[in-house]
Amino acid sequence: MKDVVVIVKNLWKYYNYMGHRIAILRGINATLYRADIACIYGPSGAGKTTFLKILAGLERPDLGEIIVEGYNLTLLDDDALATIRASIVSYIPQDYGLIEDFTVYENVELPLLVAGVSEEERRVTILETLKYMGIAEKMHTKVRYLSGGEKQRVAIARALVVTPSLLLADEPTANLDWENAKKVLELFIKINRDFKTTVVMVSHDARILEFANRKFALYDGVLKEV
Amino acid sequence: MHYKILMKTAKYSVTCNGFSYVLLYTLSLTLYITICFSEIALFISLLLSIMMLYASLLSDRLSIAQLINAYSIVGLKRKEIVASFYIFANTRVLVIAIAFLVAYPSIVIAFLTLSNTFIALVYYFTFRRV
Repeated sequence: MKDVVVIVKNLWKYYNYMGHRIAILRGINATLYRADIACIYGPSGAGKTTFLKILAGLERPDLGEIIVEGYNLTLLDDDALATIRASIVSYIPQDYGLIEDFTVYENVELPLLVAGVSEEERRVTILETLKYMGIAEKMHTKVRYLSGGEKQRVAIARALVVTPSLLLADEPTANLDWENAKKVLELFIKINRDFKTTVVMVSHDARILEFANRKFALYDGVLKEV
Repeated sequence: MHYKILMKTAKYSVTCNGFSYVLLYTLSLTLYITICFSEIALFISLLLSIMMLYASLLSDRLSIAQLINAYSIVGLKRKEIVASFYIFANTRVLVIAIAFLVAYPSIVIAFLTLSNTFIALVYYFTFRRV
């Protein structure tokens, strides 16, 4: 029996645009299991980022239910959603969401500070994570001096440092050339294999589908498994 | 509240560009209200200080947005993010307050109240939806 991590039931999201109510997500249903690597492919404006933000608890749906590791996100308040983000779900935005004037170490340290981890334990965990990601030598470099691929690795390290059950990556390859993109995608596979983390990636680049065991297409707010 | 995160935020505020403008402004303000000591000068200084605070926050708008975005992603609660923004802005308020403390100590409380009310407005209208 497979261990269910995410259940999405009849998810609808609307945006108001020029006085009109537009449905960006239309009745999405999906179930993801532990250690799945799911890729959601779709053109720009299809609702991929909105869907991912709802899974991360950064946005709320207008209708429907999302259950992550048994927690019904639609019933939780903002503080509880923040706690979920600090422990169960990690989100990597397209622009990496890093603080450019902080060092790599300081960026990766943030989730551990939120979790209240002791200084010694933080140091050990960060070092292990950065070594795992292959960026330990850049530990004291400010993020603004890193390349796109290195920034992506730092963002993944920050997401991974709390060992989440669900890792969400928004267009993880969008700012990289295909060679670097492949390295990042292989890293997601490694994380998935080593930590049994469920990984959800969204992209407009169909090439990432070959790295997934669950493939979805999102067109005009409708999600279909392919 | 995570004390270390607040300390990092205050340190970050000092390293951002807007802080240098605040430092220069404070030096000028100290000279101005010490030499041209009058009620009108004081009133103008209060207004200018609030404007300077706003300008310094606007000049660091991207950095603040980055900070709030990162804090939100790693799971900081809304009230903790607001507290961080207050710390960020108040690091600058305290520097400006030194000028008033030197020239006109009785006005410091009024300045702190005024500037913190203003910070709340700036957060609400500029950074709440980041």
